[in-house]
Amino acid sequence: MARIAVDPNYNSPTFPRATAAADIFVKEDVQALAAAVSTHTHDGVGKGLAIAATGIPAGSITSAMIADGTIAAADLAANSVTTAKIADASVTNAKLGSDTARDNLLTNGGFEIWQRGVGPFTGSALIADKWRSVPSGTDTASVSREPTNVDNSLAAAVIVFTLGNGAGNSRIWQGLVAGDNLEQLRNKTVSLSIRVRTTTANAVRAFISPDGMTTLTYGTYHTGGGSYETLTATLALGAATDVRIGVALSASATVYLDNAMLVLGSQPADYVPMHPADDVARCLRYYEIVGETPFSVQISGYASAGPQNIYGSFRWVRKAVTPTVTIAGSWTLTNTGAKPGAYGTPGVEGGVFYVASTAAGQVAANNASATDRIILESNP
Amino acid sequence: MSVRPVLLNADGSVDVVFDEGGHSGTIPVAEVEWATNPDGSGNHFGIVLVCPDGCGATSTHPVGGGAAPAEVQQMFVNKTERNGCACGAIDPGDSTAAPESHVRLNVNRQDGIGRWQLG
Repeated sequence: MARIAVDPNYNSPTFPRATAAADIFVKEDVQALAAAVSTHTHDGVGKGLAIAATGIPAGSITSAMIADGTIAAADLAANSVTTAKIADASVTNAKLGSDTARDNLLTNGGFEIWQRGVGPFTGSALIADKWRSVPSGTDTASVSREPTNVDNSLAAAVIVFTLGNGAGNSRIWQGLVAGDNLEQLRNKTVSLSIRVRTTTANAVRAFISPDGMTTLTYGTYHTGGGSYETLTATLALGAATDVRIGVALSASATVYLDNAMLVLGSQPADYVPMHPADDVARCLRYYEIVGETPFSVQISGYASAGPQNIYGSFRWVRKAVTPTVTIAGSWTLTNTGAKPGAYGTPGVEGGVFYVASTAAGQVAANNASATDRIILESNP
Repeated sequence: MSVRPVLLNADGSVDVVFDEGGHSGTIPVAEVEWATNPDGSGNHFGIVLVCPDGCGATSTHPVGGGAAPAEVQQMFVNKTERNGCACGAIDPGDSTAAPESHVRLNVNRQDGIGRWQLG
């Protein structure tokens, strides 16, 4: 005869039972078993039947019963996570979608402003404000303002590019340089996005260089699908010395560029248009025309004899560095033999100009034509 | 745009382009002049280039470089070596490192340390 008083698998509540065929059967065995089963629950290690969801009382499963790191996104209902469920200061840049509006670090990222003219610009040249075209080797590039094939804007840039032996080193780029807007970007990660359109595959791709084009980090090529595509590149700048961003041209193609965006962080951002006033203000830090409108600038006075100097002073938007000052055009001159000259070296915020009288009487110099102007150019 | 140097020739003349007018040409060494102070003396912070095309466009380039820093700074060094400095600190024909040091000093004074673009 053999019996056990406590079942090894079900010890709470348990039941006694016989363990051999010859064992005496007692009715208390059935009673104890019935009592145990009436209160038996799944023991968590595979004993008993699986519990259907309907068998779990509502509100009975707590966080402690769910293994850490096991809830998949598919288990969450759409729109179920609210701000209150996200810890303050915990959403990192890497979690941002490209449509999260952010500050653009570029000047004239939208290619909207072309103070130097609408082109075509060939050779190594400044094109749209703050952007440069630099063909390599025997490559050629002709760059113009593009008013039609734009990406939701007033203007883009169109580049008619012919590949020679440049081997992918011809570029359209904008610089962020020491002494101007580089220092605060050092040791940061930046991401570039730029809208590009072409019908030629593998002809254009975005890049970021931290050291004046010694090393470049590229994004993927445009597919050549003929539509505007967003090309991107991301780089941890480290101790950058001369940051340049833009696109590199690797095959003969007509390429349209629009709406470039450079942001802090590892996630590129969609272009955020600036208010025109702000867009222009950034450009004026580097290039400005005084007297763009005829008869808007005049230096005049009265001389008792000739030659006597008549002075005029002008202020302009503060420049990144001391500008080159060009006095262009012929001007309309009264009682003077030459158009205004700069006195000494004009500064970052203004300068003094003069005309010399030929004889006694009224002396004047007017910017009577559209080509009569004072041009300030500051390229850090 | 400016009447900007694109090539500095061995004889001191300067090849320039004036993009806005589509002009280009060579300015003789004798016409690469210092900017002038109100008293008529030369100013070592500026060099004046007149478009050789005859359009009359005149660019005053600052020693810091303005529109074309590397080319302009080198133009200042070349002129200072050849003609001496307008301030009198450097004598004409000085082939030592003094002309470049003097120009670099003026670049730093005008636009700050870090603007120097020559090696």
